[in-house]
Formats: sequence, structure tokens, C-alpha cells
Amino acid sequence: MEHYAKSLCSTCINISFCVLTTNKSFIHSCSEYYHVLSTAMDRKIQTENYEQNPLVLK
Amino acid sequence: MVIKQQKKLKQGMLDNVMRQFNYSADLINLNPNIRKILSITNNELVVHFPVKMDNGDVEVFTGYRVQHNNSLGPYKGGLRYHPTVDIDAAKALAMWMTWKTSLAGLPFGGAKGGIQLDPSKYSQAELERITRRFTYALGDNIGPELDIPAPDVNTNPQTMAWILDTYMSTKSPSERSKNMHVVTGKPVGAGGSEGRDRATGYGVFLNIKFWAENKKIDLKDKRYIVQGFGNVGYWTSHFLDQEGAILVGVQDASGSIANTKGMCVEDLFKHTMEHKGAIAGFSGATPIAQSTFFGLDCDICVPAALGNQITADNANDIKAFLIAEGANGPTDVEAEKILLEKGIEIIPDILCNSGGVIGSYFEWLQNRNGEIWQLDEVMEKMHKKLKESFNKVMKTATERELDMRTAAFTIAIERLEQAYIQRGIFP
Repeated sequence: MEHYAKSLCSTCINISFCVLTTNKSFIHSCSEYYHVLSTAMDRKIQTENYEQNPLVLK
Repeated sequence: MVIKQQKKLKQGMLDNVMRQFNYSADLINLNPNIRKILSITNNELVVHFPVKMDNGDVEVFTGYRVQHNNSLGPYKGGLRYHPTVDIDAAKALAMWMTWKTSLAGLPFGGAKGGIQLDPSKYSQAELERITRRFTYALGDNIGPELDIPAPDVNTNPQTMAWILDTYMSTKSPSERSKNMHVVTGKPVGAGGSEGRDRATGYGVFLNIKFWAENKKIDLKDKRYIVQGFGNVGYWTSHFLDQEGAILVGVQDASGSIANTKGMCVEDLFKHTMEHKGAIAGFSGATPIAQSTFFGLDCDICVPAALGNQITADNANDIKAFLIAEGANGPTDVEAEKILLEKGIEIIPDILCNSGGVIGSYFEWLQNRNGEIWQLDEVMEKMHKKLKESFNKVMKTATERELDMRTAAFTIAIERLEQAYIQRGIFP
């Protein structure tokens, strides 16, 4: 992420093998971008402890 | 009138959007006062808001909403969740939305925003709370007749449903159902529109079809290549396939494939569904080198993935007679000069991929009027709306001897100029 701070590629899981471009520095829009939220829907989300943890301000 | 020298623009997206605007503004001799207005965003909102995490800690997030212009109607634009979200990125994308909605003839202005975060680091429950708290922080700076967000990077119909629910909850019970159109891109069961999934790809296809009809070219047996086989790439291919066009090359993040005899669009789609969205390994085609993709022998090239793909380095290799820009900014300035000199026509992104925002407009309209349209009705209206835009661009390009991109920007900016001239400036 440090290398592509201004690019969507910084959080794309395809970055290690993506053949679309060698310049991944300023990508603001990409149809191949892996949208995190859509996959999070399918993941088992660890929220079981939420109700047991009251608001703690540190 | 002398316009004060503008401070040097930051490199990147905002620079590109301003360069395109200034080029078209010079060309049409845009009223200097209106140029001043359109060069600046109306409102830039930055909100910092606390959210309780699953472990009980509190994190403070920064959210943005930039409202560029609303002379034609409520602000309209996406919300993205990404570490790159900042005020400059939002400004550029908001401005871009103003031109796009203007060209499409919609009663909308332009906006963009989001939250600076990496969503992969948060649970679904945290993302829901972040979204709801952001909506609360935005308060009445958004609204169904003021500013209408939509999905963008890392946001989806679920995100829009949370925004809708939170926004409605802040209203009195008798007012709540009047606010369904505060966001678009909602799930169909929660006020979303049929056909929104295919709207952008259908729009790309329709623009190709209109162009072909205009040139008296039959799409049957025409060979095409598509870069990007996500939502836009797939649906464009799906509709081109129905016209009898032949898909001979595809490229995505996983690789490039080709088949001179054509490949089955639906089989390829099925393959991607079974392989995490990747085209690599598809048995109906052969892998090719990435660098040879745009030089494939074809009639139509659809770059539908990302920007700056067709450059001076590969423009001379292109054999297609038409480039339909499904992605934003796939052709750079140098490449465009080369292509136009070669007689290759380009349907510009601002027109070609405008089906998405038109689909959003239809959703907004249905919610506003208490209507539910069937899929065929949505598609029919999309056809009519896009045909109007396409015809305007072709007419302007022909009459003023402009390329399609310049013609499209000219129409967009002149519509805004006209609105200001007719309404005047308060007081």
C-alpha cells in the first residue's frame, strides 16, 4: 500500500498478478478491482463479542 | 474580462478533468463568469465521526462529500470507501459527474464522496455502523432533492440500503416514505430498479449499435475485443453477441485470451463465475501475450477496465475501426491524436459509459413517483434516453467538425452555460 498510496491497486487482491497495467500508481477506476465489501458479505464476520463489549473510551 | 491566474493544479485526476474542461471551454468561448463558477466546487464537506469497533474501542473516521454543481438539478454521485479518498480526488470525480449528467440530459448535478478507510480491515458489522454514522454526520447535506449518493468503489446495494434506512430514521414517521430516492443503487427489494445491474454495459452496447447504424454498418459478424470482463465487459459482450458480433479477444487482470473463430460469451462468463472472476484457463480460447492484446485483428475495441490503456505505445497497433470507451479515460491524449489521424473513431467515456447514471436516474424517478417499472420498460427508456445523447453528440460533431469527445464536452458545458444565462446569478 505504501507504494501505491494514490491508487485503488493499493487494496486490490489482484495486484500481485494483474497484467492490465505496469503503472499502478494512479488508478482511480478499474472494472477488475476487487470490491472488499461484496466479499465481506459472504465472510463469517466475527461480531459475537460486540454485545458483550461496552463502549470503552481509551 | 481577465481571469485571475489559477494556482498550479495538482497532478493527477483533478488536473486531467480541468484540462479537458478548459480545452472545451476555450473552444466554445465559454462565458468567463460561468467558467469561474464551473471551475470551482459549490460545497466541500469534511466530517470526522466516531464509531465503536467490535472490540469496544472507538475509531474516528474522516468522510468527504464534494458537491460540484447543481444548476441542472440535485447533486448526484458515488460514495467510495478507500484509503485514497481525499478532497482532491472527490473534487475531480464530482466535476466529472457534472459533465456526465449534463451530457446525458438528466436533471442532476455532480457530486462525489466517501470515507478514507480500508474496508478489508473492518467487519461487516463495523462497516454497517461506519456507514450509518457517516450518514448521520452528513445529515441534511444529502437528501432526495438535494444530493443523491450511489455505490462506487467498495460500496454496494447493501451500503445504500443502510444509508437509506439511517436517513429515513432521522425523519418523522409521516415523512419517511417520501425519502426512498435519497440514494440510488439500492437492492431491488428495497427500492432499487430492475436493470441497474446491466445499465452501463447495455449503454456501451447501445452506443456501438447507434454508431454502426449511423455508419450503415451491420454488427453481425463484426469482430470485437473487450478489456475487462467485469459487469461492464460482460454485459456489453452479452448484448453484442445477441446482434451476431463475434468476441475474439478478452483481457482481464488474470491474463489475455484470443480465438479468431470467436468464443462463447456465456461460456466465458460461466468460467469466470467458477474461477473467482478470472478468464485465465478458459478452454474456448488461447492465451496470448498481454502486449499483443490491443493489436488483435478486430473491428471494434471495447476498453472497459481502467484508464490509460491505449497510449502512444500501442495506438499504432490497433486495427479496429471503432473504440467504445466502457472504462473511464482508457485512451490518453497522445493516443487519441494518433487514432483520429488514422481515421479510427472513439465513442468517448462520458457518453459511452453513461448508461449507469441514466439507470440511477430511472431508479430515482420511480421512487419519486411511487412507480415500479418492469425490466423491458427500463431497457426501452434507456434506449430512448441514450439515443438522444448519441444523436446530439453526432450532430454537434458533424456540424462543428469536432471529434466525438470534444463534441460531448461541448454539449455538456453549453447546457450548463445555458442554465446560468437563463436563470442569472442571485441576487
